[in-house]
Amino acid sequence: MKLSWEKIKRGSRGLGIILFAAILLELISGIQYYYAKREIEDEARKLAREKLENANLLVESAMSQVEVATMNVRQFVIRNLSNPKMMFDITRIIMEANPILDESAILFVPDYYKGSKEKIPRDYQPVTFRNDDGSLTTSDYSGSDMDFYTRQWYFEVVETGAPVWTDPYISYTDGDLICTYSVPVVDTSGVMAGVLISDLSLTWLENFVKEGAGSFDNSFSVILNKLGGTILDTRDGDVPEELKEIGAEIAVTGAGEMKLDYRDTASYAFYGPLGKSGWSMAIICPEEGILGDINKVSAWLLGLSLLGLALLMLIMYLTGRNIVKYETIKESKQKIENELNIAHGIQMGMVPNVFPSFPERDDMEIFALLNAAKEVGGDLYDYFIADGKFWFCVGDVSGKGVPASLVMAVTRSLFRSESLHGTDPEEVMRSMNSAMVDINRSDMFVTMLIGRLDLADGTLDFCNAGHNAPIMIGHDGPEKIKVNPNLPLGLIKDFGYRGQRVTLPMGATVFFYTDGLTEAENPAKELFGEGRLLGHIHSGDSPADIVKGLSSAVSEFAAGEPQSDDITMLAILYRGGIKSHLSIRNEVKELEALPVFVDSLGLPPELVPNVNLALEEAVTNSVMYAYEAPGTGDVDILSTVRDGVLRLTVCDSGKPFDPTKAKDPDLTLPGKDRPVGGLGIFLVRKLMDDVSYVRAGGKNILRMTKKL
Amino acid sequence: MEVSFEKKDNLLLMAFAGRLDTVASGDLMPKIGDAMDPSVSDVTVDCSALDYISSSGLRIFMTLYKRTAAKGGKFTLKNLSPQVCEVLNITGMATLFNIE
Repeated sequence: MKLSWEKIKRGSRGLGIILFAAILLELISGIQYYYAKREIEDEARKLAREKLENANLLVESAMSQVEVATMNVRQFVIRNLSNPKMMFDITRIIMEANPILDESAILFVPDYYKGSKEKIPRDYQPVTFRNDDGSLTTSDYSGSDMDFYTRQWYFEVVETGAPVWTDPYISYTDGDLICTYSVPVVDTSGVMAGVLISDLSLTWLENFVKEGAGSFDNSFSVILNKLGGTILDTRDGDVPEELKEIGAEIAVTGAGEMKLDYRDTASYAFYGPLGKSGWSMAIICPEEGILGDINKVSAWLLGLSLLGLALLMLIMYLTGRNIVKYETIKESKQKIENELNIAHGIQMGMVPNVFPSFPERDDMEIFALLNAAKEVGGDLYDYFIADGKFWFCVGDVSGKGVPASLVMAVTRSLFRSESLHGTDPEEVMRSMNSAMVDINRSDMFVTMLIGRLDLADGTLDFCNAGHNAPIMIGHDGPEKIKVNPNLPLGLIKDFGYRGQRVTLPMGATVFFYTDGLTEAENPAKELFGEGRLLGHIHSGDSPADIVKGLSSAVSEFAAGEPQSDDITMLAILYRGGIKSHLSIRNEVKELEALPVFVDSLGLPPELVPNVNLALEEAVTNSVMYAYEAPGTGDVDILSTVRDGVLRLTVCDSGKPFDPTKAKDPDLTLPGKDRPVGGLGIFLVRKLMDDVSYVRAGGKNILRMTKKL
Repeated sequence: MEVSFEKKDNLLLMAFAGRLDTVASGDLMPKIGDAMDPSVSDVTVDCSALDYISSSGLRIFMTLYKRTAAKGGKFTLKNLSPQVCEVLNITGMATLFNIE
């Protein structure tokens, strides 16, 4: 349950971010769209207006031209009214001079030429019209059955006496769209003779309008007359109501634009006056046509961005899931690491790692180091002193990591339990092997070397079990000790392990190690090897020097290559010379053992009393004061004779006290002022050659020396 | 250690035999306390059989010395062995006590 709530929380956080991003995006897009739309509208507007302007100018100029030409010819007609036959030529001449005209005609009032000698028809109408190929044809429309007198260009002009521009209409001669300019012809006597008409072809206008409309998709143009009625339409459309209404106004109001709904489509209408005759032109284009593209693009972008957001959400969801998974894994890994660290601590606690290990003894010195390759490992070493014998072991469990460390722990326990009541290393090895074969389920084995050093005489009994040979360092330098090739522990039940014995001369060091040392690799895959090992050991080095020196030598050699196996080193220096060892409890009665002890040392008789005294003082001090009553503890007395010097060591594990810090009593004080006590330590200092104190390993260690 | 007591008027005469070490001193002190009644002002110790003395023993000597000095008496040591003498010298007590 906890897992999915976490997911939701994470999800909603991510969702919030996405929503915010989405809103921001859409906002920006919206603003962009708005401005783009305005741009496009402006462009469209400019284009339309241009078209309208151009149309307007064209129409104006065409019409002006027609008016001027017609007016001029009218004068000519008036002057030549007495010559009716001449009218044909006149219409021809005007047509020749004005290619813009489609037709020129003069329709005389009925019976104008009645009574003339040329026999002129009643509805005299000379005409010249332009053919499709551009040639002119002069004709006489008199006597046709078309009632021209009903035409607007006739009766309006005759009635008003003013020129008229008709609305565009289809010419009856050739079916083209034309419009007619008609002017009255009044003779010199002021009588209306007829009308002179000029037909202006509007095909070019038709084309122009068609062209203009094509600028926008699905748009069309209309040309309206001054009443709002349609003159021209580029397609079969009804003029939008709105436009009809303002059709009449446009000529007055001038150019403009509006938005309207044309056949349920939102559209723009750009309009403007056309010519001076009250016509107007409007271009109607659906918004779609103008904005079509950006609308499409915007729609696509919107769609894509939504798709993108959906994709993002999916990814966030999946990632969220993975993150939670990842974090649980990280947690587990952290837990495992913590536990391994704790295990490492426990393991390190299993091997003696306080140095100096036996500070009160100067008959031997020991130093050891265990570098596990992983947090926990399979190497081990152990040692202890019991009854003047120094037991130790060095071992290597096959494998590394947690399984090896478990076997290591078992092996160590076995070593302790067997050696504490065992007789010699060979026997201990056999017992350990027996126990380990029984419990060995996973075919792990342990190489091992167990030793027992008699501190009194330097006899080293040891038994090897498949472990690498130790190195003896005497005066002449390091040398391998030959070992019996016994099997490692845990393989064959009842294997006949055979022990060995060497004698350590005083001052010799033995060095034990595991193969992690000699098999350490460098980046070039070379091994550290025995050669280098021996090269780094010099006689005269202290155990700490040897071990630490080799440790840094291996690090340097490995040059960053990760450690592949545990490395263990143990160096034991045997000085020998301990003559006797006495251990008493912190009771005054026990002090009686001291004289006996001193006697056993075999000292020159003249030294005995003073040694006795010094020893008694030192020991009394520990007995009385080291352990707070009612606590009990031991006081150990060790005696060494070496190089003609007697060394007595008194040590206890009581509270820290340095007797050498006590001030000498003032012997010059007069008797009554002299304190009663405080002489013990003073006597020790006076009677022995050298007195030194050290606190180590939780013990007070007082050393006194006397030259023999 | 063995000790013998003899009282002559205001003189307490003692003889120590053996080793006056910490253990012996512990045993001795109460015995001396018994022997030292208020009439005693002088103390003499015959050390001919005294083989050895430690600081606890010196403590007893100092105590005896102070007690006799307080009473205006004398604290005398007789027949000291070389070892005991040495110890008394080292500790500066030889000059304090009356040595015979």
